[in-house]
Amino acid sequence: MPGKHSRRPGRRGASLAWPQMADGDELDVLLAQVGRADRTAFATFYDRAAGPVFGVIRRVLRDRSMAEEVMQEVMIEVWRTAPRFDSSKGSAASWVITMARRRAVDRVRSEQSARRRNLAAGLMADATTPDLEDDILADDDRRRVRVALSDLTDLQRQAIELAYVEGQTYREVAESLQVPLGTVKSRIRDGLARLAATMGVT
Amino acid sequence: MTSELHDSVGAYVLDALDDLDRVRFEKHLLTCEPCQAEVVRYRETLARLAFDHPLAPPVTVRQLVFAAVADRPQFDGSPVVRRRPGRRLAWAVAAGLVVAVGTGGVYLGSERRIINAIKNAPDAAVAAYVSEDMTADVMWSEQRAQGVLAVHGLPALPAGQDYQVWVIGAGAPVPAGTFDTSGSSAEVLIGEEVFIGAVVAVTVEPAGGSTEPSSDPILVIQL
Repeated sequence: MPGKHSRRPGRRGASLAWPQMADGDELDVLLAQVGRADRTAFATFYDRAAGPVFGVIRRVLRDRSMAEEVMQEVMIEVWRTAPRFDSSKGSAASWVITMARRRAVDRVRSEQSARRRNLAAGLMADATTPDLEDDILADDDRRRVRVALSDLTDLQRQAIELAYVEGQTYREVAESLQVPLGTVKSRIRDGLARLAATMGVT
Repeated sequence: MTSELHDSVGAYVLDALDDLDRVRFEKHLLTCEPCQAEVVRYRETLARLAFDHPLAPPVTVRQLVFAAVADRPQFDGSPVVRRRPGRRLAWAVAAGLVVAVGTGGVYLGSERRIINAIKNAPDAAVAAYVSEDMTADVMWSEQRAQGVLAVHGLPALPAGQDYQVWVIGAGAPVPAGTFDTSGSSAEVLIGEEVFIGAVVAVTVEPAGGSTEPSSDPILVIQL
């Protein structure tokens, strides 16, 4: 019997175990139900969105336990603020992904400034213990994202990668790539426009 | 430069603007329809990218989330425990600048009590705006859905004008009270429900306030 998650038969048996979202509209309907305190809808929404949300968070936050904390915060926030979701302003997918990215980037920046303060105060940077298996997964994930960005020019791709995957600010991106600030802004914008066109987002 | 502002749209969607640039861009975004459309388009693009590249989170996270929402109503339930060290730090820095709040103000007793309750709420969080000549912050409690706007460095207005606070959630800006500064500092109870993700803005309006903003905001704070 075809299950909910087998609408894209080509994806079955692919290396990825996580089910793909069937269609965006379905997620919009679910989130509207969550907004009316429907806990069953929340469970379904969670299962559809958890993989994409965790991917976004994990891409920015390399520390696994930190990523899991942020994941919890985001999902609790989904429950709490779902009544305010307005589908005329954008899809449920973009609503939850925007929220997840913002939280993850907030966290990575505050961690960075804490680390800088510790270093300035002569304290050891509290190195997080790397997890080899995790790192392999994360590297693999980054590689796949890079492939998704392969239609862009080098500079567009590098700029978007640094901001999207590393959580860098555009000033940091400009420094990393040794290009002027204005150039970074316009390359990121051009790159996103091209990505939108490639993916058929109108 | 307007074209430079337009160009910030990509970095904005990627959360790659620093605080000051973000505030500037959000101010621009309130009135720029092409940029609003671009924001929507790029956010949808990033969502597609995210849904094309999922990573399975551990089952324990699911259990923790469901345990957390089990007894939690929406909006007004028990506080969401949220650590925001970055924002709190900004508050600590700003605290040195936002001085003498309340010294020149006259508050009704009850309003003062509400303000204190918000500041002492266990889930109180802060978002700040700092420019060369002005600092402002909103301290709010998600649990109470109430917030306090504190400003320092706002010029006193000529007769016939007031500062007006707006809260912007999903829809149009909602008026949330007016104030004036006799000194350079003011602390105002925001007269509308506030929540994480909302934007608090201030405009200059005819005395008594307007039903919708008649000018561009002079400060914008995203909660």
